Amino acid sequence: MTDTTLAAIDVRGLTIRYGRQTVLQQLDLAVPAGALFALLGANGAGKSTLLRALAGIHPVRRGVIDLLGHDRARMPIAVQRQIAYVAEGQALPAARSVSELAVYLAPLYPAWDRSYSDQVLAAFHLPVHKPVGALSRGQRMKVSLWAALATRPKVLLMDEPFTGMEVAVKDELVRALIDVVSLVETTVLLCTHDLDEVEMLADWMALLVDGRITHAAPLESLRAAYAQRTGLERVPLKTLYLGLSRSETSPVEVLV
Amino acid sequence: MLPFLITLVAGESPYRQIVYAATRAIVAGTLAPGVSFPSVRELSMALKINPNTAHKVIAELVRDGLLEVQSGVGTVVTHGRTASEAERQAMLARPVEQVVVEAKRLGLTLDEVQDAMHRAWRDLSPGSDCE
Repeated sequence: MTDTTLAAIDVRGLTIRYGRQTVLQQLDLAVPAGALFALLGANGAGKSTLLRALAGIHPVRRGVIDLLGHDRARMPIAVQRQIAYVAEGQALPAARSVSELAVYLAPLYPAWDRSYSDQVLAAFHLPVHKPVGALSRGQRMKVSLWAALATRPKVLLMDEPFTGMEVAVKDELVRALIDVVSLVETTVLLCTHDLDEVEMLADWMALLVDGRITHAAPLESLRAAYAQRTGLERVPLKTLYLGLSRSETSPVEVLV
Repeated sequence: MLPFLITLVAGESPYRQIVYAATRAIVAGTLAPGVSFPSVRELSMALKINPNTAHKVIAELVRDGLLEVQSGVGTVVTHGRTASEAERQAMLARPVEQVVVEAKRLGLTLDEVQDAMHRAWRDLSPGSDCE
């Protein structure tokens, strides 16, 4: 389904500097619509910066970001509302409870889906009357994700959603993501170090090394190409990630 | 709960693993004709796989003639279809030859291979106690 459809996210020549340090360098990346795309890379490779630029939090001075066919810089508000960003440690109004948050957020988003919101809340087992500030880290991540999902986003950007979570909570998140892709037809771009969680979930992956994408392809093709190159029978994501990170400083290699 | 046995192994294409497990269950009769096959959502939730993968699995099994789409019901296991002469010849050539090459390399006898083939054939036939 991803072959013929347009890219939901299309980044060309994105360069971002912090002072003298170049974090992203002439970065190109296309994420097909409907994909669950895992962005992998070492700490400091620029993953979070890329997601923040896509979310519109980080200003873009050099390069172009197209989301859902619109230039990020000149995007109508209606399109902006279809892009959701969920990050670890995201600021949430600590004094409000989840049910108060729902009352506050719903009118801001025309696409806010009340019944889907209730459905996600039930699946997440969130205490809806406790102040958000009193919730655990895993629960706060679920609050962020719930708020994002209730807006029925077309693009969901997630920065390290599984960090520091118990196994059971990770499992709930994985199930929520499956629902998002199958029911809502959302394109998901997530960066993570939790490779086991995305092993069976991701259908595309890209490797970000020193501010550049070195590999970007359907996971299946990368895995097959790597198996052929190394003679390995099985290529778990961890093996693929480590192998590709070590071997490549070469330009973009597309193995599709 | 899925109507066929599978434990996904990391590092191999989940798509191919599931297609194989389902095909195995169907030819063995564990999944009998007329039985409904899990939906995309059921399959992806049960195995925690990407729904796109689950979709591809079902499409492949439909293409292979093992499942058929019944409107209002979903997909069900078919009564099987007759393979074309080309498909039959292809099976009898390459995969069979590979078994023979591997058996000879390991010093197995034709009898041993035939016995193993008989056992596997019996175990994967409808009505056998396996699975």
